[in-house]
Amino acid sequence: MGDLITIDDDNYLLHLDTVVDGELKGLGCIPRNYQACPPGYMESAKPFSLPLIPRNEWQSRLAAMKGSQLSDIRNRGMGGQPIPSRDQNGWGYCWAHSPVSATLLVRALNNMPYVDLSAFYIGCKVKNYRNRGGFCSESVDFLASNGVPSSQFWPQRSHDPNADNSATQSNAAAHVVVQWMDLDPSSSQYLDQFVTCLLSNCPVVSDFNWWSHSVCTADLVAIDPNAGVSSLETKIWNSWGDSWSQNGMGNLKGRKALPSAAIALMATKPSVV
Amino acid sequence: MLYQSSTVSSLPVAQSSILYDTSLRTFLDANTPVGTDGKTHEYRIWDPSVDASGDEAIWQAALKRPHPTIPWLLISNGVTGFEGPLPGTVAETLALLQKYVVGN
Repeated sequence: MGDLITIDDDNYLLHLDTVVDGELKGLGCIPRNYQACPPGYMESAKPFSLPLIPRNEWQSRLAAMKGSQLSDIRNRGMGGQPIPSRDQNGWGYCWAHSPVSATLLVRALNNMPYVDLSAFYIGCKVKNYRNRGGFCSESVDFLASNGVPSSQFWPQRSHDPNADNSATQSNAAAHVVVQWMDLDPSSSQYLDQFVTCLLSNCPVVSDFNWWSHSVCTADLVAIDPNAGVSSLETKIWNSWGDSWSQNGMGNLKGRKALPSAAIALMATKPSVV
Repeated sequence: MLYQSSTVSSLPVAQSSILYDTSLRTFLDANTPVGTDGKTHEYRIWDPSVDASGDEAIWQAALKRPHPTIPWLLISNGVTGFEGPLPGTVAETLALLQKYVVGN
């Protein structure tokens, strides 16, 4: 396993390069236009409404979750083995991969059998097979309407339109994800919304404008309720394969950890295929 | 286990831990059979509103059984079992599950 990568306000410039260890990793996140796409604009992603966890409970709840956060559940989610990281393979499809990573985490939380979901299907369908950036609500909306197929029907990293047939579409529909909550970055309680999701083991599809990248935020690592966002540290699940950081997961700290756009996944449709 | 995902953050921390706790999952992995994929053990932790039509028939039937309150726990070993409110702690849940381990 590689060394843990932690990105913060001091070193983030070192991590903007899309070539990592000689491999093109790919970004692709474009800022969501909140005037055109305000929180809750999608039928499938209602405005955030989880009861907020009071700040005076944050530390005790975080301590109680030690060893039982989403990254821990991911690490045993494939018949006792870690679920493999998605790999956008240099394409600008991070925004299609981040909600699929969240879907895999909730499936594991529900103890559903591992299915090797193929996010390239979403990117190809939404962008008409072009290598284009997007933002996470585009892919969430597609996932809610059409689902995502397994790699048996749409191989990982494929952008072959011939794979788009009725069998693929039927398999995708078995993995429709309809229950999302749209967080509001303009809210004075945005940090509280974000922390409440993570303390409830709800993965957050997270677009970071500073990184031009979308990932899945899995765990809360640290937060001081008195210090606020400057003390925030999270664990993210990237879509750059398992070789990035520690088994595909790294940490973000401070303001770099708070997403520019965020949608939490609440529940998925169970399926065994 | 059934829990309301839209209000999960309001559960007492000791009870919400049941949904995620690693020791509980380890116990369940050790004491439940594997499913049709030959890897995943036979327990589910769901929001009650899920469309379970894509899962095995036994889980569809389990979800259709009455669950007058949420969170809810259903245990079956094929002979006997338990249906009722989810206990308040991981320890209480483990103790309850232990009663239905075949051979105990």
